[in-house]
Amino acid sequence: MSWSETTLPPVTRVQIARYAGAVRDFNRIHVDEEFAKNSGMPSVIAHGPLTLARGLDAIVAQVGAGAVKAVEARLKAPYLPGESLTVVPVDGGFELRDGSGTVLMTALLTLDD
Amino acid sequence: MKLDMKGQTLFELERSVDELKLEELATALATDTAAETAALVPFFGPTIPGELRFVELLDVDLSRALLGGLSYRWNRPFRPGEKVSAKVFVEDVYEKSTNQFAIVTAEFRDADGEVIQVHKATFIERGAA
Repeated sequence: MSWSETTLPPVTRVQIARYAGAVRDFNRIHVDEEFAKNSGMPSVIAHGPLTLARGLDAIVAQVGAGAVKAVEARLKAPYLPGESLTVVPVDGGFELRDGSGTVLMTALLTLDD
Repeated sequence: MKLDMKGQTLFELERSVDELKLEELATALATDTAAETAALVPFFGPTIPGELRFVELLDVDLSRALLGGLSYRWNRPFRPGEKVSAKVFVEDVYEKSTNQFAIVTAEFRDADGEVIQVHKATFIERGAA
C-alpha cells in the first residue's frame, strides 16, 4: 500500500487550543506564550499528538483509517504555530518536517497489507 | 518526576467516545478526512482525566518536561458513542544522565474486553540547569 508526500497548511494557535480542549491537555507550554518562552521555546508549541495526528491524517486521506495498524514516533523538534507540515515517506515510515525542512518527528508506520 | 512509579497504575476509567469531542478533534485537524482520523486518536492516555491529574500523580515539572516519543497500535478505529475502558499505567521510569524518563502506557478496551488501541508516551524531564 503506497502513499505520497503531502504538505499541510501551517498549524494555527486556534487549532492548538481546539486540540487542547478535545484531549484535555492544557499544559501551559501549548497555550501560554509567556510560560512557553520561560521554558526555552520561541512560542507556544503544538502538542506532539496533534502533530502526529496531522501527519497520520495525511496518510489516512490516501489509505483510509482502517489500514493504519501501528505507528511509533520519536519527537525531534518542537512544532511552532505558523509552520507548515510536510509528511515525507521514508523507508519503513515517514518524517514530519516543518516549512524550513527541520525534521520534527520520525516515525515507523505499519499499514495493512 | 517520581522515580518509584514503575508498574503503578495511574488511573482506570470508563469513558464514552464522545461525539462532540470527536467533532472538536476533527475541527482541530481541519481536513476532509479529519473525522476518520479523529476516530484513530480520540484520547491522549495520560490526560484523559485532565493534564493536572497526570502531573500530580507523576510529579512532573512541566517547565522542564518534553514528550520524546509516542506510539499507537490499533486493532481498529474507535467507534463514535461506544463505551471504552482505559487503563493508564507507568511502564517504566528511569534516570539517565541528568534527565528523567517515564514511559506511560494506555490500553483501551471495548465493552467485550477486546483491545481497541494501545498507546505509549515517553516523557522526558530535563535536569535542572
